[in-house]
Amino acid sequence: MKHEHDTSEELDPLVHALRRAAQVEREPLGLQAAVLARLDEPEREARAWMRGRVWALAAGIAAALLIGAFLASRPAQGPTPELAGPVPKTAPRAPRRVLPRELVPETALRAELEGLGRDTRAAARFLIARARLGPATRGS
Amino acid sequence: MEARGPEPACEELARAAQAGSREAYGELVLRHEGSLVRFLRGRAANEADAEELAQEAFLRGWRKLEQYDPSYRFSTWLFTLARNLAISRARRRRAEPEGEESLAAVPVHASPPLLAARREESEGLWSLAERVLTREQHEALWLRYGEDLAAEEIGAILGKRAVAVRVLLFRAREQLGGHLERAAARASRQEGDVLVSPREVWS
Repeated sequence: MKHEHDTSEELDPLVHALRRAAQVEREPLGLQAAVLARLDEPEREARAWMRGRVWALAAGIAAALLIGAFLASRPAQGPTPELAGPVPKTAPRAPRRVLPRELVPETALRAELEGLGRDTRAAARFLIARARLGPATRGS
Repeated sequence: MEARGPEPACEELARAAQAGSREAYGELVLRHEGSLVRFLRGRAANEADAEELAQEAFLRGWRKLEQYDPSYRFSTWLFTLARNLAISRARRRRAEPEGEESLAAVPVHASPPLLAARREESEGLWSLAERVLTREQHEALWLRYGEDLAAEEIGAILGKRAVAVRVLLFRAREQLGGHLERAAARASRQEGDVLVSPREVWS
């Protein structure tokens, strides 16, 4: 680890003065004992850090439990089954009967189209579909 | 200026400390404490603060010792670590007005010239350097003439290129020398003495 020494530096009396003055500045100040006494501090710090982590984790779990309990205690949306009474039973729907294409009454369709007063595609599609479903669903 | 010859080199001591020797680390602390405190003076509010900062740096050094590569100078590693510590602490204290304030910002000619010259005589050259130079100039100057580090090593510590360090050192010497000459001239005018350059006095 050889260092260069600039010639102009070595000729400068200020540099020599700085080097001489540095000898005094480098004198030990008595920090050694204090530093050696504190060398174990990192371990203490690490333990403190771990304690902090454990406390933070415990606080997080407690907060989660509190939120859970609060949410569980809230009334459910809508009336409870007891208040609403028995669920009304609806009659099972009859299966839809689909008429074969050849059985769609064309005359009735035409009459209905005329009755609507307009011949739109939407109306036609609706009527044809209804006609195909048959008389069981027509009235519903 | 690390111990050579019969005494083990700092790098050898650091290797022993890496193996767990507190005694070796204690020796490293003893060798570097004064120098480190001087280096950190520009980044501390006062001497006690600089000593506290140096202690913290040594403790951090002990914790991170496994990261040190003994093929490099121990002092370079230690001073880099200490400087980074000082910077991060200054960041934390930024809210405090005196935190980042360098003592170099104190006006040089706050007192009458003769008084200033006498104070400079008594306070020591390095304290004067700390007062009249910028913090960076003072740090570079100390690492060069106090620690005898090369420009490349100083650059590694200060985060600068070697060329920039040489320029920094040149300007620091010029500024300090110029200040001393002006102070001497003022003093001689006050006392009616013959003007003698401080560079001549110190040589």
